[in-house]
Amino acid sequence: MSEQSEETRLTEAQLKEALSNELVGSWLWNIQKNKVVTDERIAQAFNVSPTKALKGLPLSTFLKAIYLDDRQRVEKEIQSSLKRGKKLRIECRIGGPGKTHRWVVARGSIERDKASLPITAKGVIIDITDRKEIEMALSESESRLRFMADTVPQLLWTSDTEGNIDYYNKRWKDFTGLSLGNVERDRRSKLLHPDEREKVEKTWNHSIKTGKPYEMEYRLYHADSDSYLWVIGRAVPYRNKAGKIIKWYGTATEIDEQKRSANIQRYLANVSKELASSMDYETTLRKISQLCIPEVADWCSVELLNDDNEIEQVSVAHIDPKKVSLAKEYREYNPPTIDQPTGVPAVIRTGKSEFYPVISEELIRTSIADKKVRDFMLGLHIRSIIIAPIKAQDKPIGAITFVSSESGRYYTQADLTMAEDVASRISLSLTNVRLFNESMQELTRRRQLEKELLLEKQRLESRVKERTEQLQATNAGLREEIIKRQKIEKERIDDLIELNRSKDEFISLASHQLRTPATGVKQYVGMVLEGFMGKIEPAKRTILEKAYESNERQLRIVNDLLKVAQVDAGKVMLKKSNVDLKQLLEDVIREQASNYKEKSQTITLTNKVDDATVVVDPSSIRMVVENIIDNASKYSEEHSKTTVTVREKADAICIDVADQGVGVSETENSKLFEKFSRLDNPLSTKVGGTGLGLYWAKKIMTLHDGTITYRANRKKGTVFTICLPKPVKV
Amino acid sequence: MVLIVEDDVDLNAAYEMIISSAGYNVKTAFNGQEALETIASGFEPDIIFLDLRMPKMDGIEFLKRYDVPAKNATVVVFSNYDAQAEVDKAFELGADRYVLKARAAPKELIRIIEDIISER
Repeated sequence: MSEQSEETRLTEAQLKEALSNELVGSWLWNIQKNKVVTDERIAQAFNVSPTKALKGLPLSTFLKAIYLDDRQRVEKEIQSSLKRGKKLRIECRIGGPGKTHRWVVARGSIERDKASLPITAKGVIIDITDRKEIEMALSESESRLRFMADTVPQLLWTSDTEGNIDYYNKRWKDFTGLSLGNVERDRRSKLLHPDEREKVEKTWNHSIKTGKPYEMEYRLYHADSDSYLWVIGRAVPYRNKAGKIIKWYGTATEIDEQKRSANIQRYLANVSKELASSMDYETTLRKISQLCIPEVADWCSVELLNDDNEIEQVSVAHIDPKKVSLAKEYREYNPPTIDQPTGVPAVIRTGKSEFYPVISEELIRTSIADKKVRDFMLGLHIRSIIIAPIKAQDKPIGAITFVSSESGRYYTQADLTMAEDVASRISLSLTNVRLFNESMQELTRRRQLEKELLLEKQRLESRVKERTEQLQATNAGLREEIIKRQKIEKERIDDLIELNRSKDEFISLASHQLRTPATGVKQYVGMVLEGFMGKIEPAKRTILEKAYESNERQLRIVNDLLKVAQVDAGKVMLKKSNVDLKQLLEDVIREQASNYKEKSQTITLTNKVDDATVVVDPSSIRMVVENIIDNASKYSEEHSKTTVTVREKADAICIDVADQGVGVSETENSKLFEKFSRLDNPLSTKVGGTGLGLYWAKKIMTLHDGTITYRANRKKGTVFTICLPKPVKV
Repeated sequence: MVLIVEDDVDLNAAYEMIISSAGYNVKTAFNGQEALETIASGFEPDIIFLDLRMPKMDGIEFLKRYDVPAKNATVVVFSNYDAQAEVDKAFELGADRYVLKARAAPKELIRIIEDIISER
């Protein structure tokens, strides 16, 4: 009830106001005579006759007006007041049926005789209905407040203006496991986390001094988990109407989950930042282990397998450097081996995390054999351990260990998730680093190669440049020389062309001039020989015939020269039409039959073609054929045989003229189609060829896209073949 | 009646001698212009032996002016191996035959005349 009285005290200001309520009246009680005299107002209030009241009425009359519920208590209080003391003060409700009840207080003093027996009492009656109602309402709201305070999830407390805590709600007591009585004593030792104790005290004192509310985060002892949990604490002052602080209200809300999760999130973000910022992973891992201290862990270490498959501690972090060196010392004293069934080696071996949410002293005692290490471990006050595997390309190559000790926290599933997250981020980064290093090596090698290539290229380029310059100098000289020579050469060629042209012209002109007289000789000698001038003697005829023949040769030469000059000058115009080669051959053979007959030679025509039609210039092709068939006779002895065959190739009609003549020696056949080529054979002198016939024939054939070729006949003689393209079928 | 148009004096004389000796009435001219003049003077030839290359007026020009298709005469042009194009031109202008000058022996000329006459 001490709390309640505190609460009552709280409303004193209001009560004082209420006490200025109206005075009902005054009374006098003659205790010996048991007569109570009151004024008129009291009589009215107590429902008795005022005139009787003025004369005096027994106490019991007045007591009848008191609420039945209160009456017995009032009687008792009166009796007890009469027994001892000088003062009398009794509160009660009055009012009868049909009237609203009123609260009144009877105050008075008691007069006693020498024997201390009460003689009279006198006093006043005051209406305290208003005050009482306020008091009742207050009491009711107080209990409602209490109820609320005990049900809300927050921790609540109140304090006086001096900062002395006078109320904690039930949750606060449950949370801290501390009762009001021992708070003060325990406060300094346990309630607040050592790291924030000073800060909290300072802030609270400052608020009391200045009357400013505070809000801060701190760790509060949590009894169930025997650890400190983060809360957000607030305190606001309660002021009276005059503005004076009369009380402090305080709350604390647990935010441990949020706080931890925020810490974890911040740590994870930092881990990512570190991993992204550096490629020197040992430095990075050291940073990562340090970053989690102290919000996420009290201890953090990273171990990796080295090239010798030994577990090497890359980094270990704790807020106190002395402890770090101590830990290193113990590790050296008792290094882990890969075959250990639990802990870092097991995690590296299996690639699976280990989570020890609660490490009891007993566990340490039973699991660590070595006394020195065991004592060291016990001295660390370890609460929880998480070990998560670090992998590179999915192969475990190390582990990261988070230990909770001094902070007094126990790790939860959320912390395990965090640890595995950190480990997997490191793993990913390590994989990248490894890949990167491999690529870098490759890149370095390539760069080296490229550099060498570039150097080689530059060397080559400078050599090429040097030589080019030399060449350019030489070339410039050469070019001038070439231009000079080309000019000379062109002039020479022009001269030669001109010379050739004039020569051709000369030949043409000379031949033409020669021909006419020779034709004249032919006609005149011909007339004699043909008997236009009468009969001639055989001896004269022989001579004349020789002259005629000689002239004929001259005519042939002249004609051949003219034909060749024409073809060389490109003046031959082919006038093409359909020509049946078979027909053409029959004509030529018929015309030349007399020549063959003279030498008793035979000539046969074999046709192997259905249609021997070609599109050619008839007169020039005819002359080519005549030439070949004529030659066949001329260069053959008497009684020889000449075979003419018309045959077909895929795209040409060909004529073979095979004779049994003197043939052409192998050394000479290459010259056969050259201009003025006269072959050395027994009949050449006698035949008197010009050496122009085959040259011209070849030119004509070429103009027809045809060919003229030569080969030796099987036994004797030659085979000349001309081929002319088949007409394009529409 | 035969008209010989030939610029070479010796050949002209030889042809005249050959043809006349065969009994034909022959007149000679030494170029196209003379031939036209001869014809203009009232000589209507049945056969004209026409050389193509002549001074003053060549055979082609003569043929153009003479208008062979409108006339009675048969034109035989003297040809050479190197004069195919001119022969072709002459044929276009109405020439009927050609004789390779270098080949035609005296008898050949007579044979040609006889051929033409027999064709008529």
